[in-house]
Amino acid sequence: MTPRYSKLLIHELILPDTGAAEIQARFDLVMMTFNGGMERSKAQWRKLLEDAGFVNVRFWEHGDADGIIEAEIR
Amino acid sequence: MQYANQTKSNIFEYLQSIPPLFQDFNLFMGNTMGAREYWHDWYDVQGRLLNGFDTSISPVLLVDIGGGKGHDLVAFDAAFGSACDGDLVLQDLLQVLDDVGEGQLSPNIRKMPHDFFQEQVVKGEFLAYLSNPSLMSHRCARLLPPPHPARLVRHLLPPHPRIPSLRHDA
Repeated sequence: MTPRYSKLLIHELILPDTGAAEIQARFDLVMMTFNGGMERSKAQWRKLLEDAGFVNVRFWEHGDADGIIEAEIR
Repeated sequence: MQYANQTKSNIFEYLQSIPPLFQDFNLFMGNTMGAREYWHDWYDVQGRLLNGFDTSISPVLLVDIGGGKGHDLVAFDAAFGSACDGDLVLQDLLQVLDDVGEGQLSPNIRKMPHDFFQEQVVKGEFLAYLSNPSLMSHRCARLLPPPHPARLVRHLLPPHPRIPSLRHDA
């Protein structure tokens, strides 16, 4: 990836902090069952990416079950 | 699932150890769209991506990491292929890509065997795309740091061990 040029796009659910929709809760359980994974809220995505060295984290939400998390590297 | 099956393998290693199940998994992952819209129909592809694309930095526009059989790239190419001449790279395990026949992908799409738990081999690319939370667990932070882009898969419900998959016992 090239700093300030390349973008990482993660096509994923973006959970609300409270009051998740049924399909969001279902996906979270599926991920736990499948491989010990999880769905994430905005704050959790931001922390994960920033801890890994990404910057300019932006969110594109589309309905309950679609979202894009966009990030760049320093 | 790993616990239920008493395996120390990660989920993808486990699936690969049972070829009929792995084939079903890959087929399923390429057909999970249902009534959903493609991501490029609601993300600002023109404004966020195409306008800033610079072939002097890299000829690669988009790397679909863990892109399965290429369903997302094929749809992306159909929508934007004529508006942009960037290379599209489809990465997944060799066993997955071997199952994608000639003619199933458009000429703009290049297959590249790659395990997304290993360091990314494409450098300088404009866009690394991944879809699928299943991988974004605690291991993810180790995978994501630059210059390692990332990876993708999608959501699925594996069959119960006692419920035979179609191909298994057909």
